[in-house]
Amino acid sequence: MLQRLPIIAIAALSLWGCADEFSDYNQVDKLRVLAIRAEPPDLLFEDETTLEALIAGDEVASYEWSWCPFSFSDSFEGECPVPEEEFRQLVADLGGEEDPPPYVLGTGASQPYKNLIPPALLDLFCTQIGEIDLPEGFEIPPCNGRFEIALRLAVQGEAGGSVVTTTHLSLIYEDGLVPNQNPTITGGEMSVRGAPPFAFSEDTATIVARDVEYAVDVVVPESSIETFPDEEAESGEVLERLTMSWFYDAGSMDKSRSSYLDGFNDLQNLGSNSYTTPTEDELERDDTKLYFVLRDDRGGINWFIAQLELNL
Amino acid sequence: MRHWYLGVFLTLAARDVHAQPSKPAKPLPAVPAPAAPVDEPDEIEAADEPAQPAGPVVNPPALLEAPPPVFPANALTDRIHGIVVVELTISAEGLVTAAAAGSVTIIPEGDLPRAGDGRYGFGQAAVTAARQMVFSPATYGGQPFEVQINYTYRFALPAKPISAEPEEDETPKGPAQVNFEGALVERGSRSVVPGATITVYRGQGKKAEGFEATSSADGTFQFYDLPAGRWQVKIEREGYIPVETSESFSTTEVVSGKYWVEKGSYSEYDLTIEAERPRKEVNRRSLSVAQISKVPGPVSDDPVLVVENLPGVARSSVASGEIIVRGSGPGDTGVFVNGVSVPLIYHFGGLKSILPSKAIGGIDFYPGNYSVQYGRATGGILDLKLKKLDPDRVHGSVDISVLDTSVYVEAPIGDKAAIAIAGRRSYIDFVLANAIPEDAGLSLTSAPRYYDYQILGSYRPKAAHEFRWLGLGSDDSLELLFDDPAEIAGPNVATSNDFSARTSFQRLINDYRYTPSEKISNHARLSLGRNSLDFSALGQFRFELTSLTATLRDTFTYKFNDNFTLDAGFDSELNRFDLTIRFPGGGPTQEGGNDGDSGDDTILEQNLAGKLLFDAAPFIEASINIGKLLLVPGLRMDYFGNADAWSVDPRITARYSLPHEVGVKAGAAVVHQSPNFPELDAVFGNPDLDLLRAYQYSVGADWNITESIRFDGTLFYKQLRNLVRNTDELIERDGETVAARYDNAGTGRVYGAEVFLEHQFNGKFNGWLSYTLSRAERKDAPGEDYRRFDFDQTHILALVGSYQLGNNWELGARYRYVTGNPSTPVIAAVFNSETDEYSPVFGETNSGRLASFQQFDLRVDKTWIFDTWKFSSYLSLVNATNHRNVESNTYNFDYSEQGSVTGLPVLPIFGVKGEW
Repeated sequence: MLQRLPIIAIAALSLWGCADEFSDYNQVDKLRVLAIRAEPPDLLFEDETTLEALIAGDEVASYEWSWCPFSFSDSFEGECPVPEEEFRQLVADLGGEEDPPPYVLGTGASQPYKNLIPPALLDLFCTQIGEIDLPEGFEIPPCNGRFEIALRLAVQGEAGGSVVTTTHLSLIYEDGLVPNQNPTITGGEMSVRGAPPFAFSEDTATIVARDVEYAVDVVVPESSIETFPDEEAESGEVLERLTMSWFYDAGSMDKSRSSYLDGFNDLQNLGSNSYTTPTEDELERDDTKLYFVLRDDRGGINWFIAQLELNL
Repeated sequence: MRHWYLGVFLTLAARDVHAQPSKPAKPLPAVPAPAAPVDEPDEIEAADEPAQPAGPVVNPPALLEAPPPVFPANALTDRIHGIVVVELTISAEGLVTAAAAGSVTIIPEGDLPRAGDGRYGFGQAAVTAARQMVFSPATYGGQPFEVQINYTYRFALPAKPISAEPEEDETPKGPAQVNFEGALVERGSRSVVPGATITVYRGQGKKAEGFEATSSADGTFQFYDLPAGRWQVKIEREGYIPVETSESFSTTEVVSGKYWVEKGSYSEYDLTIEAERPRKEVNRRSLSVAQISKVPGPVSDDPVLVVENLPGVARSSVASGEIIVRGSGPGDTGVFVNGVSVPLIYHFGGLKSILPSKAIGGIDFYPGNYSVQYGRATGGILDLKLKKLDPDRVHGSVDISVLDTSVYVEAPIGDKAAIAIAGRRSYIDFVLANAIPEDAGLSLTSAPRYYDYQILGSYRPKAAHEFRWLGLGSDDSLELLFDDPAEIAGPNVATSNDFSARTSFQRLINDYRYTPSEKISNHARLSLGRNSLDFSALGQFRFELTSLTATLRDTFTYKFNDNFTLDAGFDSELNRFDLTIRFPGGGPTQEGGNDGDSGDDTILEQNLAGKLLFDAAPFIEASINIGKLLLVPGLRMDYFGNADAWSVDPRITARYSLPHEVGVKAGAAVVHQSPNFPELDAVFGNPDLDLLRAYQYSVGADWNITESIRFDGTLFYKQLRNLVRNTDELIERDGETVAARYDNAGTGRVYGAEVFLEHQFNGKFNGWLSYTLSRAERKDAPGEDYRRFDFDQTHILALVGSYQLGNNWELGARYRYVTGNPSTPVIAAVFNSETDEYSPVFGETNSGRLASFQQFDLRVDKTWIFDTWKFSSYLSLVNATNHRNVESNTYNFDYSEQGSVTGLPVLPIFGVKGEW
């Protein structure tokens, strides 16, 4: 994305034209994978994590989880630049005592993944990568104490749609590094101007009126903002950045994303938005959902689903 | 060799010579109307230049020094007037290299017997004086060239009345006294009007009497000893509306008058001389500002934007400011101001060029096969020529448009120097700052704004020495603050909420031309300058460049004889710069690539301080005339400091003149260009990259169909080698395995045909048709098939015309049709859970194509003339038919739906200008 920033900015300023408009990114009106969460997001040797996806817009007909020790050469098709057998051989050549997991992990809604690659081996990947005969299209992974493997989830919806999603998982191979934790959302509340706020939850539907603009405040505890070492920082460490992505089935949201950025945007900014509930023309049924996806800048992710009933 | 002819309206003030040879000419009564009026269009011929194809504009020589001739003694005695037309050859240095008396008219007073000029010697006196004259040379696109002109000397005795019945008493009445004098000034511009005929007369029938005088070079005239009474005064000159008035004279008082004379038309075309092009390059297209300043269509009233309407130039996106020439990349065309390279030619997005039209004398554009004097560009060359300063007094203008306001003032400094100062400032920022709604999510710290300024100077102490200076500065700035950067940049990308871009540069260009003789000349250009480019976005992307630059270009010319001329020189550039770059995503994507291709999130950083780069290029070029064949072989050697590499570029052009104003031409050239700095940087790119190389070939013909209609056609073929492409390869460098990022495996080919059919200004109409048929292809790796170049446009058609409606109304129109750019289809998309966005999966590169582009533009100009100034306004209707032109494809968030970004809708643009 950032690679395109200059182009976007200049084009937006210089292109005196008009662009076609499409449906809102934040409105979930078909099969969507809104996020993949690994709990925990960082793995030490022999740690196990659980992979889950936040899926909305349709019922899921099938899941397929896979991984690649490096970035996929074709993430849509799930091609790994290093064939599985070659990778197994590579691990063996570099002293690995146990086979890594198979590339195709499983087909469940949630999927465990266990880090079976010894830290020394990951370190070896980084320090000796120049001596390995690597295939074309191979990208050198960042070697900063965390070794990022690629994960892929292919989902088929019952209505026929499909989505391919990728993400990374960090395997810590350097001693002393503190694993990242997923940020958390503890709840939230809604309010109409002049009226007392009321809480919403994931389990029970909160009753709201149609075609009304509500202030939405999602609670993100300060503990979600972790500190981590950064050589460029004067103090040697920095605070995480957090971003909330706001999704809805129907209606409209004021902001598509909001952020916490130390020195610029506070937690209040991160958790605040306004939501206008749908009219009957926009949504006939009475139940709807809001999806709040919270990401930190180290791969941590979490979400919260607010159940609403349009029946006030 | 003088076999080409210019039908021009050259008006050089003929010299009135009065019968007082022993001292400076003192005005005496005017002579009766001469047989040949002085304002009769003279002819101008260029010597030693081959017939040339259709084209542009020549500026005439201007008289700088004209010692008065000696009035022949016998003529004084016999009271003989004389009119001598002298044929002058004026060198490219402005010196009179040959003078010969053409016709000599002997006009005896009364019934005196007429003798031949052998007795009086008018011809010899005129030739002797003419050889001492000094002119500023005639120029073509800023380049001086040799011309021939006719110059008329008038040897005038004290006048006798031109009454119907000659007075009987012709006894001399003692020293003559001026009792009526005046000055002629052009309305609107306040320029002097030389060469006009002033007639004072009264009475009718047999009692009619009258006198005539001709305004001198400074626009003044005098009458001596006019009898007292009321007289009619009539002022006439071709191209001007006659002035008629009456004045009362007495024998004791001097009547002084200033007469405002209005031109018949104030079209800027009147100021130009349309001429065949005196050139060596087979592919040069030169445009005068007058030719292009009123072309409708561009968003702004800027002549440089009209370059896109020339053959060989692809259409760039609206206001992108890119110049794409014959299938080369946008960065492969060199841009110069008077031969000195500048970092950019347009302000933000190509809205305006960096020089106001008032400071530009013309544009030289070379789509290929250019002279060895240019290099370091595998595409074309665009050279803005500075205006030649020659103000007769203080002039100026204020130009107000929807984008900016500019001011221009020029003034003479004595007889040999002149200065001009110009400045411009945009006000888009004021408009946008108030137009952005409060809930837009961003604020403009410094909304997009640009300004530029120029100081031009010229000084010609002697004919052999000519100095010119240009001080130039340009600054573009934009700063934004986003309320929440996550809304535009994605999750956790930003570490700050600002976006800023600022580009500025300054140049001081010193231009010195030394012409000690007709055979030798030297042209040196030294420029000093500073560049600054500062771009940052959201704390993640940063590019800060500050550089000091010096360029030195010198061309020495030796003319062995009429058939052999040698140019030799060098072209050098020294840069010292400090650079900081931080670029996430593995560096810039090359042509043919698509954003998001790499998926590489690596953040690259580079800091350089005090780095020196030196480029140098000696060159030599000969011009050889063999009968009707002109051969111009040349050789250029370039040292590229950035790549630490040498190149050798042999080039040759040839032109053969055929009967009926037809010429055939051909050219072949090797040109080299360095990869750009990030591509060669050890962090961002690959320092082992080779130079980019192009082989350019062209053949063509030109034909002067009539005096005003010209045709030029060219077939071209270009091979591109060592093109830089992105690569995923890992290489060994200094013992480490690193990503190569770029290599030179790309190649390309471009071929096509260009047609330029021009109707030059004939008093009413000016316009041209430009058509390019081309195919531009790239091969990304050996063994792969050719694919379309990003800007491959099969058909590029432009029809441009401007018509004088009379009463200073002018109507212009432009139509363009261009094949749509290639596009790469998106065949699927993958959602990235970390970045919260979809990444497209692309199909075959450039296998699709956007819809064709069509645009029809209209423009109306009206000028109102007042005595001391003129006021003009224009209304331009861009995309008058509101055609929906697709600039690019756009997609919904998951690339499942495709739409388009379209260019300008119908857009009226209004501007006004005052000039004095």
